[in-house]
Amino acid sequence: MKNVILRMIAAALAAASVFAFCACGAQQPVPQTETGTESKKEEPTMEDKTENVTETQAPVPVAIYPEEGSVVSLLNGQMTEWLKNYKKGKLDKICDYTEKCEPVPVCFSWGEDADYTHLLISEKADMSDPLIFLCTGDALEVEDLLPGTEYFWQTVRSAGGEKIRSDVHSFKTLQTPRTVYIPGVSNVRDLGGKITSSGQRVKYGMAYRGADFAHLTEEGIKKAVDILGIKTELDLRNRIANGKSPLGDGVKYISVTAPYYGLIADQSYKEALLTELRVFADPDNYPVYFHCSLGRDRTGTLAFLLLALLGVKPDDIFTDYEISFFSDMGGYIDTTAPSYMVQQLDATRTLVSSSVKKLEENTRAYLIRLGMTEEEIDAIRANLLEDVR
Amino acid sequence: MRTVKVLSVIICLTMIMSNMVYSASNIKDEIPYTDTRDTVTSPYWYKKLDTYSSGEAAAAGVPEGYEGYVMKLVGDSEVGLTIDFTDRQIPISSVKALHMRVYYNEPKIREVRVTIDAGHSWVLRHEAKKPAEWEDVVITDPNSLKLLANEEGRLGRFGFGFRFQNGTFNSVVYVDEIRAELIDDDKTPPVIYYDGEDHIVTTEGKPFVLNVRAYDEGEKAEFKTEYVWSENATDDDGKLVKGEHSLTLRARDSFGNTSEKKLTVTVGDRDVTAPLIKFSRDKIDTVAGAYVKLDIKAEDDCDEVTVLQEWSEGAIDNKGRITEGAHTLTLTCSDLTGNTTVKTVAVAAGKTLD
Repeated sequence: MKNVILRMIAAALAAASVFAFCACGAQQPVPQTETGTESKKEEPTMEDKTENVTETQAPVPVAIYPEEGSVVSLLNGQMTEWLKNYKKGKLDKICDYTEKCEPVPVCFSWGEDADYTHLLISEKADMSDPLIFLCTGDALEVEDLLPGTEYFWQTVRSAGGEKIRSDVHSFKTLQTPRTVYIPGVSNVRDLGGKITSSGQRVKYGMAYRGADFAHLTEEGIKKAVDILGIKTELDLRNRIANGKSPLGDGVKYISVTAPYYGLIADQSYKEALLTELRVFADPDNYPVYFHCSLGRDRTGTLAFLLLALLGVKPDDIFTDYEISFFSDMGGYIDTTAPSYMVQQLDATRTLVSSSVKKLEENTRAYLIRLGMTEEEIDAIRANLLEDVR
Repeated sequence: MRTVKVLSVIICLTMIMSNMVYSASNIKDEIPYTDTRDTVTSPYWYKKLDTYSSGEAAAAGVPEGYEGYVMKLVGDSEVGLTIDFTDRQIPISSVKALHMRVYYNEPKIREVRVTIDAGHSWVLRHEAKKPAEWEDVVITDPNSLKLLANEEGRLGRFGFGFRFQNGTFNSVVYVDEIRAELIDDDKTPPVIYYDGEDHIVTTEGKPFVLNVRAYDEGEKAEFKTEYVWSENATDDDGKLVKGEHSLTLRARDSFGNTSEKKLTVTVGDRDVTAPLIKFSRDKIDTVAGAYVKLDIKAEDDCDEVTVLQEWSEGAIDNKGRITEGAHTLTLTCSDLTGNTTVKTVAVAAGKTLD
């Protein structure tokens, strides 16, 4: 009897021990390594559990954005969808007098706050030559990233005297035309990023097109001059000579009464056309901002000639043109159907194309007949084209 | 007899001359344009300008529908004038509308436009929809009309013109009149719009600002609202003193019509608590070339506050990036009473982040 009682007591004690063991078997808090990766710890042993008296919680998943490996568009959804299914001249009138072609910033979110954080963004996997942002909080919107680019990014959070470096994340930006935001200016974009027939690329940051500066703000001047580095304003409206650029005395101002569409064949516009094209032959003029009032007709005609000369595919040239229909173009109330305007540019293409050769060759020949020299044309190409890495 | 003949010729010539002078001044009674180009005000000019009296216009082929004198303008791509009402001394507040009576039969005309700064901005961009008939283009919007005022607050000078589409040459337009329509004598006072409390509670030393505006329907204009305080409500510096006060909001239009609204204001003890800046560090270690995007906040027991960031000289370049070296960031936050918190942060920007 005594043995039975002793066995029962032992069994009870054993059961109690097992019960106690299971109750303390919850996951331990996982220490952050210097690289920020979470490492799984083994289940605590019976010896461990007597020392681990701190209550723990499961770690909260950190919201990382852009998501790893994702593709982010720098344009709004409507424009992105239009580009994906692009058909020349088929755009319905969509402008409701608000600006719809402004670029969309990329929102970086790392989900963890700190005293302050450095956000590093690089085009290289080893994070060399990064853009660095000193910020507070757990998120930051970044503007002016380039389309068609793979980016790598990480954060270095400073908290409690420590620097905590995160993993390197990556994402890509969708290859689209590069629209640009200049406060107070409509319809702005970079001619760069387009691939030519020879496999080269039009350089970013060299030639910008847009509407006029009627509503330009102080912030807009700062963006245009300090950030984009614009050195020359080419005004295609029929303004008076010896004018000054609203961007300031440091920016060269060139004014011509430019032709649009079929008027490029009008002899009275010949000198103006040569003048505006030759602006792009001089490397000291770059970056150039060229515009008319709306940034569509005279600007679009010049952009067409330049892009055609560089060997950009016709679809890409017309895409660049049609982006104007996503802009309010400085508040201009336009009732003309986009398809009609595209026909005007198409007619310009026909005018330039004197033979069955490619548009690039025809444009070159056309400009030579106009009066440009081979050296001037080669200079334009050298200034605006780069080899693709 | 000979004397009578000579006198008759002189009188006749005088009448002809005065008629010519009368004709030149009358066209400007209807269209007060300038003879010389004003490139500061207007981007417009013309290749050819002709003016006709009503008797001459028909023979000149001017389309029917005009009255009095009429002007014909010829130009390429765009054509117009500078209009100047300065001499007429018309207060802008009494202008009800600006009428421009025009005729065009160009199918490619785009807009009728008005500007005060040579086209850098537009007071009016009127879509041209009525070819081959006389059209009364009107500006009635008070904010647009105000833009046409000179420094004295009177209808002044502006550019007026036509913009053609797709490049045209030798386009013809006609202008019958450009005139200001004036308001009738206004007998209605402005309406005071205030959506706050009739009894306001505030504290000593805080600026007193109400969201109030006064608008006069007759003159289609906003007017200032005057604050009339009860006796001894403010000190010598104009600041409210502790106690109970009454405030009368008063607005008066150009014709002397007045409206009022009465409020009561209780001024309590001064707020003496400064805001708390929510940034705990005294030092930042960063790297030269970093773009500064610090969003530092503060909280206050009474007011919405923001933090002003001031960098020591040379700390930030023109692209918004921090330069190499030791810098100081001064954070300042003030509430509406003037209680201020200042925090200085030492910023070290090295060659690398590590």
